[in-house]
This record gives sequence, C-alpha cells and structure tokens, in this order.
Amino acid sequence: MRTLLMRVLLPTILSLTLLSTYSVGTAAQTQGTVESAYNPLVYSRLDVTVRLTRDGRATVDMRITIRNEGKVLVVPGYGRVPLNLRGENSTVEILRSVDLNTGRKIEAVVLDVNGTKIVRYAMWQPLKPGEERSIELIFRVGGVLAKGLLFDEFGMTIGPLSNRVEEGRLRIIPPQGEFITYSEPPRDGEWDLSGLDPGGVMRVSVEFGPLPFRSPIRGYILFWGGIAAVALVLILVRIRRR
Amino acid sequence: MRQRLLLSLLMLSVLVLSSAAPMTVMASPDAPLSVYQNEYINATIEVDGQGSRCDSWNVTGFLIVKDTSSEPVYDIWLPVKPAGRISLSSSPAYATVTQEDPPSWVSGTYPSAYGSASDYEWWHITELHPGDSVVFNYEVTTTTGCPPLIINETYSPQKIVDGQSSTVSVNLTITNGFTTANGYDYDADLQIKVRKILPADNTAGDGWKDQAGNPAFSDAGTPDTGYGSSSLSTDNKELYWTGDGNWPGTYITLTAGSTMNLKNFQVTGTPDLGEVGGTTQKIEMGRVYVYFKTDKPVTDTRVGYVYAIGKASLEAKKEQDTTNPSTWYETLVVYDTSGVFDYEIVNTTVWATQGNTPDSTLVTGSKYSQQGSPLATIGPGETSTSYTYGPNSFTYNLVPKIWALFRARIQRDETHGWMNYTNTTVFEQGGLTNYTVIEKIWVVKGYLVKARKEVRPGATSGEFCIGITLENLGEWMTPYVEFYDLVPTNFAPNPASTEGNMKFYPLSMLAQDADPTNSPPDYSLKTTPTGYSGGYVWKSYPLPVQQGFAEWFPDTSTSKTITVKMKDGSTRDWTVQVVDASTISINGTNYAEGSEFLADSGNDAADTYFLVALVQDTVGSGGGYVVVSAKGHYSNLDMDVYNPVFVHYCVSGSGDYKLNDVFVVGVDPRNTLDVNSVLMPFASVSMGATSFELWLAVAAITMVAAGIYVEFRGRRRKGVVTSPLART
Repeated sequence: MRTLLMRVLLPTILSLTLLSTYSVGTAAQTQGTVESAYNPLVYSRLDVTVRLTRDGRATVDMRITIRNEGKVLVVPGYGRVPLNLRGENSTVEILRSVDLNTGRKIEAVVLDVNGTKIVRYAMWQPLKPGEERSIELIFRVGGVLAKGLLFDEFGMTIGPLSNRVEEGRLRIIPPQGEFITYSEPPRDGEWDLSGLDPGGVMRVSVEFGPLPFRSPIRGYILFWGGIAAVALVLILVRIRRR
Repeated sequence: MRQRLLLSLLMLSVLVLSSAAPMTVMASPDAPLSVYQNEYINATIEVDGQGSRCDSWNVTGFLIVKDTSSEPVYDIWLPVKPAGRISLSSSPAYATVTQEDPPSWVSGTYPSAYGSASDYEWWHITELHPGDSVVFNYEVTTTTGCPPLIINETYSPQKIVDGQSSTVSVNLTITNGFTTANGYDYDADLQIKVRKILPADNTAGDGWKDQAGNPAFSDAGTPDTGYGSSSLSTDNKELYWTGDGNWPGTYITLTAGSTMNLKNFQVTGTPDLGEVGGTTQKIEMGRVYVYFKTDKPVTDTRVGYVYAIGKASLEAKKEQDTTNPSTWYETLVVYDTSGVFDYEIVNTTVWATQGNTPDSTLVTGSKYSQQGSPLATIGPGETSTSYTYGPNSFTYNLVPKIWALFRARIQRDETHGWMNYTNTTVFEQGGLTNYTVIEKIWVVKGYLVKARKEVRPGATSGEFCIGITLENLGEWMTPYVEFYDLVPTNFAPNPASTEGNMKFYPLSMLAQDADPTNSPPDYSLKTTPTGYSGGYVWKSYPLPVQQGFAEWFPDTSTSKTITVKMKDGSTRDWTVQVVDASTISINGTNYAEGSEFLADSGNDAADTYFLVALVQDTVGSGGGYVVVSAKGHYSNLDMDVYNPVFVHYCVSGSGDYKLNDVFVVGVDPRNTLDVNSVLMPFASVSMGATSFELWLAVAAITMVAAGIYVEFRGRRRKGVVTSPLART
C-alpha cells in the first residue's frame, strides 16, 4: 500500500520541487560585457511603456531622448532597437515614429538580420554639443505573453544599451481584466531605469492573474501548489489514521 | 597600464617632495634679516592632442627667516597670512619658536599699510644668531583648474596606426596665466625653460616597438620670434626649448598674459599595442618638463610687517631740580648699538616708583608714555644712533627710582633692516622638474578612417565645389562606412536635379544608391535637418588596406610626390602629374582615366592594382581632382573594393560658405581620425516568457486524484465496498 502511494506521490513531489527552484529568479540588474568605447551620446531619458493584450501581443511605446555630451557636432545616424523575441512567429509592426521636437514623422523600418528583428529609426539631425533630441517609437509585437490556465507570464529585458541612461522608466500594463499578481523585482508595474550603464541590463518578470492580489511568490505556484499541499496533507493524515 | 602609469607618477611626486631640501634662492645682496618665501609648484598635466587635463596640483611653500648679518637678532615677530597650514620645519636649538598672539605694543603700532595685526597669524622666534635660519613650511593643494602656467599641445595626425611608422607633428603652446584677470594678486612675468624627453628605446610595456631610435625626434620645430630657440639632443631623444637653444641654457621671459608657441616639432615612431594589451588606447608619447621661476607667490600666503630687535642699550636718567628739590626730571635715551640695523622706535615709557622694582608703587604723575608707528628711526643708516625721550617732570618728596622702557622694531630696509623676498619655482631632482606634462596619443588597432572635406570656389560667382575624400589609413579593412555632409542655409546644390553634379568615385563603392538609374546624382540618402539647407549620406562598402590618393592638381605642369600603400602595408612614393583631361602620368608612365594598372613591386605579396577613378576635366582650366584608388577584395560579397572613395558636388548661393566638418556615423569614434563620429545608438529589448502553470496544475490535480484513490481504498478495506479479497 505504501509503495503504491509513494509511486504516485513521489513524482508529484519531485515536480513541485523543480518548479519552486525555477521560480527563485535572477537578479534584477546585471552587467553585460559590452566594450566601452568613446561615445559622446547619452540617453538623457528612456521611457518604455508596454501594453499587453489578452491575445498575447504587446504594444511597446518607447520615448528616447538622446543628448550629445561631446565638444563637437555629431550625427547619431540610425538608431536601432534589436528585439529578442521568445515566441513563435513573433511579428513586429511599427505604429508610430515621430521626432518629438518637430512633430515630424521620422523613418522607421523593421529589419530582419539573421533571424533577429531590429527596429531601425533615423536620426539624421546633427546634435550640437549639449543639444538633445527626443523621438517616440511605437511598435507592436505578437506572441510574447505566455498564457497559462489562470495566470499569464511575461518577461522583459532592457539592455544592453549603447549609451548610459540618465533617467528612465519601464512600465508594464497588464491585459484588460487582469492584474499583476507577482513581479520580479517586486514593484507596482513601474521599474526605474535611471543610471543604467552601457552594457547593463534590467530584467523584469511579471505574472498576471484574474484577481487583484499581490503575492510574494508566483500566483500559480501559490494556487496550484496550495491545492497539491492540502491534498498531500489530507493523504498523510489518512494514512496515519490507519 | 594606465593604473601603473598613474601609480608611478604619484610615487615620483611623493619621492621628490620628501627628498627635496628648501632652497634659499635669493637676490644679492640680501637684507641683514631676510625673510624668504619660496614656493614650489608640483603639477602633472596630461595632454592628448585634443585638450589638456590637470589633476589636482599643489604648491609646497617655505618661509625662511635668516640672519645674514654679523649680529644676533632677538624677539622676532613674524606675521603670516596663511593659505595652507603653517608648521615649523627646522630651527636652531637655542631658539624657541611659538605661534601666539602678539603683545599689544606690536598690534597697537602695526603699520596700517599692511592691514591690521589681527589679519595675521603670528609666530615668535626668541633669537637668531648670525648665519642661522628658522624654516616654516606649508602646502596648498588646489583641486580645480590648472596651475598658472597653462600648457597645451595639438597633434597632427591625432591618432596613429599600430605597427606602422608615423610622424606626428606637434604644436606646443605655453600661456602665462599668472595675471590679476585670472584671480591672482599679481601680474607675474615668468622665466621659462622646456625640456621634452621621449620614452627610452626598448622599454617593455610602453606601447612602442622595441627597436633603436623608437620613438625619436625628427624635427626640433620653430619657436615664435623672440621666444628663444629649440634644439635636439645628439640621440634625438630630447628636445630643448630655451633662450639660447642649449641645455641647461638660458631662460625665456614670458610676460603675464602672453602665449608662446613651439610649432611643428616632429616625433617619428612605430607603436606596438601588443605590449599594452593589444586594443586601441592612448600611449605615452613623451613628457615635457617645465622649468620656471618668478618673483611672485602663487598661493595667497603673505608675510606682513616683521618686528625684531638687535643690539641696543637703554639709559634712564634721573635729575633733581636744583631750585625745587621735589621736582624731578626723568629722561630715556635709547642707543642703537648695532652696527647693522636701524630701529624704528614705536614706544617709549618712563615712570618712577617708590620701591626698588619697576612694578612697585608708582609715583603719581610720573608715568609718561608715547606710542607711534614709528616715533623715530635711529641707527647706522640714519642721522642719529640714539633717541631721547624727555626730560619729563614730576613731583616727589622722596628719592624716586626711575624706570625706562622702549619698544622698537628693525626697519624694513634692504641695507639696514629686514626685507622679504618671494620666489616661485619648481622642484628639481635628477635634472627633471615636478611640473610635468604627460603627452598621450591614440594608437588605433585595426582600421583608421579619415574623412577630409575641401571647398573650392566654383567656375561662377557664388558657386562652391565640395570634394570629400574617405580613406582607410589603418591595417585592417573597414566595416561599411556612412559619411554625412551638410549644406549650409543660403546655399543649394546647383543644378538641383543632379544635386550639384554629385558624383561618387568609384561608383561601384556606393553601397546604397538612392537613384541607381542616374549618375549624377550619387548619394544614399538625402536628409532635411533643421538649420541647414540639406544633408547627404553616402554609404560606402568596406575600404581595403591598400591605399591610393585623391589630390587636387592646379594645372598640368605641377607634379606632386604622393605616398601610396600596397596591400602588404609597405609604401611607395610616386611622382604624379596630369597630362590632359583624361590622362595622368605616374613616375613617367601615362595612364588613362578609367584604366586599371598593376603596381608591380617585384614582390608578389605587395603587388597591388590601382584604378584611375577620376581625372577631372577642369584640370587644364583652373584645376581639378585626380583620384587613383587602390583595389582590394571584399570576400563576403566577392567583390572588388577601393580605397579611397571620393565625392564631388557643387552648390550655389550667397555669402560665405562656412566649412563644416564631415560626419562619420556608425564607426567607432576611436577608429576615425576626427571626432565627428559616433557609434550609432542601440537599445536591445528582449520579450517573452514560458508558463509552467500547466505542469503544476497537472501535478496538483494528480495529487487530488491520489488523495481520492487513497480514500477510496481505505473505505473498501473497512468493508464499505465488497471485494473478492475480503472473502479470503
């Protein structure tokens, strides 16, 4: 009788343990290994707002302000946003690309380089020393939300970047009708990107659930794990009674 | 490497400071009591051809009070306005030196021209014998700005390529910033000498290839007229810039606020980045040691009016009135018994007492005192060596005791008194100074892109023609290069339909052609930046290592000697001349425009093909460009590529065409010869996740199922459910 029980219970316990190890997560900001080069540009402001929808798509709104900290005029040229998308057949669609100083549309295209999609925008306006320029880029990406039974997972990494960020913010807005149940690092949907060094990364993991309650661990672990734990306890109590 | 360099610099400064002895540099002859203020500036400045950077610099100062006469001096009060904390460095064993407030007779008689006694910190020295001195020291560290001697250098070229022999032409500028306009209390003229030393041959880890004469000076340059001469040492490792061009030589005088230049001295050398890690970085191109002196202090430390006394004697005379015996007369006589010093009498006091001590009961009305700054001056340099105060009368029935007191100070006089001398200079040790300028130059590993723009007047009035050359000076093929030019407002390309007859040579190198059917115009992208009439971007395929030339020839009779580079990096000098609108001659042989030829070097590894890409038709009538590009191979696309590439177009408009720089985008700025290049910005974004909820849900449901099964089994055992097993 006991061996039969063990044969049923053991794999369940094992899978529980494996899953909990996974959810411990990684540090929020780590250093990449990008060579530091003489680079007079700096992101004086980098605001990224991600709006998710239930069909798994994300609309990314990036407001980028670049400033020339050097002593001579420079031309930024083409700015690039390389996208590493984990998802099948992720499509990228540009919705808006505008120079915020003039209100004029700027050229932005999606390039496919060896399987990696890159959003390339044009900044051909020369920047005088100390001058800064802001652009807004809105693009939509498909298939980035990992859907579960009750809870959905989303992860995002900003970086490595070519330049230092002075002030910046990452906002993630859950799909309609869902709420953030867990995030790593734990915040209220907004993460500070200020001070991010070139080569540095900001890794964010978010879980959305049907109810507006925050959990210190992933909601699905709490929910399903709780059910499994209760069932286990009842089983053991039952065995004991015999 | 950089850390090691800085550390050795730090150690050098500390070493020199601790072992240096204070020098009593002085004028001659010096005053019998001399106060020397000697300041030594320690500074290390780094220049890299684009600007200079001063780390914090400091001044070490010494105040030396010295008795240079043949007589002792006593009771010295030294007022100092300190800029840095003053501490006693050395004093003779017999002297007691303390820092304390001066007595009231000193502060009360302090000369108003020197401010107030309370403005100063006072030091008291009890006595000083002939030949002895008391030394104080102080240190002032300034963390911002540069010391008053401002040094800068510009290099051409600003960067050199690893493994190749290069000659760098340097202009050294020295400005005397020791002026009231810069916040100093004085305008000081400086006496300057300059000694520049190159890194020694065969030194490990300095970034220069280990071979003889590497690096070495190839030209001593030309100083501005009236500012001395320059010369080189016999081994060409040292450069001297002095009054007479020799070393140690004489000083050059640089007046306050003036600037002097040493133009176009040249350093030739071959760098080796393998010694310092192999990546593009700055290496030391040499050190400049500056020797200078001036007679003004650079810190705010000031010496006030010194009080001291030498040999003197005092006489108190008592006289009784002959007619009225209770009337007494008291007289004070001060004698300057010094053979050297003049005294300024500042206070004389006489009084009488009943008792035998000066502080016993005072006879009423007998105290007479006067104080002045000064009351009188006596001494060997004056008309009289004595001073009389009195007779002063008072009444007393008994026999009084008369007492006299005088206060005096040695006069401020170079012959018969005290004088202060200031000297600001640098520490010297082993022939080198502590005022060091470290020169660093960028050594580039790999490709080195140079974009050069020339503007010449066109054929018609108000027309300007622009020629832009993009070349690779380095040892590796470049990546794709995008360069960008701006057209100033008031100008527009003319004719507009061809963007000013814009042509790109060789056209096959234009990686992106916005108008492939027409040539002209040849460009990749046209932009509309605000503040300018327009902009153009040209994207070029990678430029190979072998290098030709793009040169302006004013006519068909001018010949130029031009250096080209073969595909193995070796160079050749060609004599080039234009024959006619479609032919040039190189070393006597004619080549037609559009033809390709082989420069056979006799060494297969160096054989390189060249393309005569352009011979402008206007050469015969006013001048034109000749472009001969060296051919290489870009294996990724299996195509021929050329170096250099050249763009030419013309604009028309009104006013002055203000030359602006060409901008290079996307290329690492360290790999360009100009600073107008920038790495194109990028911001990587990753998105996506995996959900493991399904697995956990399955596990949980399995648990629940297991629980139900266990419960079911348990109930069957109890007999609730009949089972065949129960029967047996």
